[in-house]
Amino acid sequence: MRLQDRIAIVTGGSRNIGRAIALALAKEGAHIVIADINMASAEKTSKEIEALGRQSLVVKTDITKKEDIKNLVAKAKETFGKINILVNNAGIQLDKQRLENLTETEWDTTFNINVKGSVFLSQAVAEVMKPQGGGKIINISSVNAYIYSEDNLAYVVSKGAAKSLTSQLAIDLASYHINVNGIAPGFIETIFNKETLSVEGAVDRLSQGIPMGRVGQPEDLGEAAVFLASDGASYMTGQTIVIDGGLILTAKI
Amino acid sequence: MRLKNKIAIVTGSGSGIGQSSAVLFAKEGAKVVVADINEQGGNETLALINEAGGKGLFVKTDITKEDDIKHLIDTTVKEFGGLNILFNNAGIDLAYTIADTDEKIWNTTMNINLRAVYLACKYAVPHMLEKGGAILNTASVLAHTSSHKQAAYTASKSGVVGMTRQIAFDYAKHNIRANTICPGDTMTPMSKKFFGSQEDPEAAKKVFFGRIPMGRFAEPIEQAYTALFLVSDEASYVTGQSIIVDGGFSI
Repeated sequence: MRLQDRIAIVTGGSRNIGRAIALALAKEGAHIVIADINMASAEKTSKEIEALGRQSLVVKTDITKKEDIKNLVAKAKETFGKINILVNNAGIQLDKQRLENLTETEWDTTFNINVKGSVFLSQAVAEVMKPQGGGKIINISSVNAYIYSEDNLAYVVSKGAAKSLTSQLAIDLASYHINVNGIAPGFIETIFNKETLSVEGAVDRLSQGIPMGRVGQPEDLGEAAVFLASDGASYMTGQTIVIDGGLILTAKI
Repeated sequence: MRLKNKIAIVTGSGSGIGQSSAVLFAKEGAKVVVADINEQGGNETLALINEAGGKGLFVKTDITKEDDIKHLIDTTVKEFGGLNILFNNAGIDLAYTIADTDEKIWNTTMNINLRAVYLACKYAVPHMLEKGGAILNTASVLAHTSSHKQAAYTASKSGVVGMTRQIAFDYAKHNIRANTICPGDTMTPMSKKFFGSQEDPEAAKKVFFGRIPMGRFAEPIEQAYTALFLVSDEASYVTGQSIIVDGGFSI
């Protein structure tokens, strides 16, 4: 139980990567605060956490609203008295974006969720972690912070921002013993892309482009989150672990 | 037991990060082959493994000798039945600028830090083709940032990073993963000795610690825990990566 009785906030923790991370943290003893706008999925995941014998709190949160962030942090503190781990996972990936057709709304929505939300939530949580004597912040970025992706202009740029945020916060918060690191997933099978993947031959085609010959599972990311949240990662800060089966190895590193 | 049923070799495990890693791997269930040129250190590590209830074996190894490396791998497979994890941790740091680097310094650095890693991987890979495996090579934070008088050292460590990436690329389909760990300043016995030899140890520490955002050196165990993650099945989708553990030094 490497995270016995630690309290973790996971944004977007109701499904896919967020859910896998929440469950992985819970399996190592953490209690989880699920911050999400999707309540049905959040309740479902909450029950899975409780089935593991850990406590779980669901807080409806629109990460783009400062009031919601304030409420989330207040509810977490009220219920558990402390916050040890923050996983900035909530994110959106809008499709079919190229420079020619990109709209202001698509840009703003992407950055508000993928970057602004993480910044202001980290700001609020850091103020709780400082008097505690430390904590762990984990930002979920993407291989798209390192390589090109077709039709995903705002998303790719926002993930680059998430990676920079990690190194920036790491230095600002180092003297407070708050470690800030990131996880950059490669191609992971999630609900959002299950449709794409269910097309005949799609998985094989995608897998062929990945050196390890398979697409990733959300569980591959859960273990990395546990490591980064654990005491064993106490000297690691400002770094992003790429978890992609070798996908980016042929790109410029 | 995060390394249950695994067989691991750790080179340079007679002291420092290697020793901490070997003992940690054993505590997590691996059968560990302790490889070092220093018999006293190697036996010390073995004793720590036994004390912790783990299973280990010491094979005296001079990694500048190809036959010693072959013997190390062969002995591991013979005694423990296979090889799952290879942690090439042994290394040397001779501090010179490029202009002051004579042939002996260059060759010694390259032989220990790069050639030995190449040879160990070369002889280990055939044993990992069937069941997969995890290779972890110790590079350095200096493969990613700069310091003074580290010409040959950095050349060797940058070589390790690039070579490891290529190994990962070639063998990914066989489920053989390869990554590097890049330690920043770590409080090993060597570091303690260095500070002890300074006119004013506390003042020296202030200078060195002041350059690191976290304000201190790493403990060897902090490098060992990162190594543990990377060689375990928890990192089964991580390959070709260079993981820096430096308290923020390189940012």
